[in-house]
Amino acid sequence: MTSASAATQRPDDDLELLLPFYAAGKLSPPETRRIEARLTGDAGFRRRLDLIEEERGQTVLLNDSIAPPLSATRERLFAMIDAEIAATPAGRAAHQGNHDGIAAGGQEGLRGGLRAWLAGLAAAITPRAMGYAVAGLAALAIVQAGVLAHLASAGRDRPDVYVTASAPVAPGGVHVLARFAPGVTMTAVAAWLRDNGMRIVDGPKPGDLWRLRIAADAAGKEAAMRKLQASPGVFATVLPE
Amino acid sequence: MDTHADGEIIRRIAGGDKAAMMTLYQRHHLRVFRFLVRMVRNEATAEELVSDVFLDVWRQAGTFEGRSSATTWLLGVARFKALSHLRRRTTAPLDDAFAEALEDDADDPEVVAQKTDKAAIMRACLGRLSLEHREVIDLVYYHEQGVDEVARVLGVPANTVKTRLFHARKRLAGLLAEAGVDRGWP
Repeated sequence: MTSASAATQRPDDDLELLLPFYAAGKLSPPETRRIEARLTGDAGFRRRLDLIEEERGQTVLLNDSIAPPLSATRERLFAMIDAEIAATPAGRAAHQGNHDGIAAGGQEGLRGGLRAWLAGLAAAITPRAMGYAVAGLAALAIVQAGVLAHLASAGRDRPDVYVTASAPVAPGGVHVLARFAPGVTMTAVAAWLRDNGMRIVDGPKPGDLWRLRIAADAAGKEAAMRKLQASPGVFATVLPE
Repeated sequence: MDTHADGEIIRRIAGGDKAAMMTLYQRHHLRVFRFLVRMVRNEATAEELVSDVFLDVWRQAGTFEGRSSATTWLLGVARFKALSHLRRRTTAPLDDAFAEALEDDADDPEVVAQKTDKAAIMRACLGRLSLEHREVIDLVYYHEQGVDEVARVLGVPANTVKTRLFHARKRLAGLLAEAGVDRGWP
């Protein structure tokens, strides 16, 4: 960015710069009080906070759409750690800046030599190569996990209203991100959602946002949004996906 | 995230406790992975880098002094790994101007404009921000880092963090405007 264009894009004041951090709940008490005093009497400032909440909600959704890494990533990491432990008698030579494991291993006879060989192997294998090596084990673990999950789910009751954060996201339907009003209890939220045919499918996410399934299809979206927005005592923020 | 618990976990890792290492990985690997994916824009690369990050944690846990949270420390290590990878991948130095120029071309403005949903357009525009802008947006909006914490991760003064985020939001507004979304700001 050129200095000229930067000059034309200068923020109004320091509070403007702090507003995103206020939305994230990361300001000190004095800074928070300054922001809230400004919000009380400045409708334009409140509008800019709404825009920030919108950006924040979509950033959360964008990041949450990134699937977790493959389990082989964890297997690879701990295989490398195991190799390091095996290569160092105390297991922590690397912490102490001792990188001469091969020389030390040679003095310990056969066991030391084996450790040194493992250390050399670990150093020579790239993370990707190690990944291929453990992929077969990971695949076996996934198959076992799938069988266990199938057995576990066969006898499990399906909750109608509340699904814990670790539960899978329900497929289909219309979803929103919502933040509950300060002070509202989860019991009240659950009752409201049940009465209106909605439910929690995920959360809490950064910013105390919860993902709600509000309608089965697009036809019911507008009516559901109106209900949510007409209940400020339950929902402080509602963001469409 | 319980920072006190993280500090204790890292202290145990420094003593060679592999179970503690597993706990730390379980608590933080997803956020570190997502931060890396957003930086390098390649999931396979991010998977390699997340292993590198936690291997460094295993090796360097004794150097963690607790002056920042474990999250801030991990994100700082992850950013260093990602930038090192990007430098190796390109022959050009990754200075600020180069980083600024790194914008995603996956969804050009025409494609974005064809999307009718405002929320989807905003997510597409967030994906098109430069590396410098999307990392500061992610650190504040998704990873919930404060001014000083972002400053530690990025290695810049606190005031730079605030103005960088402001300009990132300006750039986002510009991309939205190009896609036909006028939010009335700036």
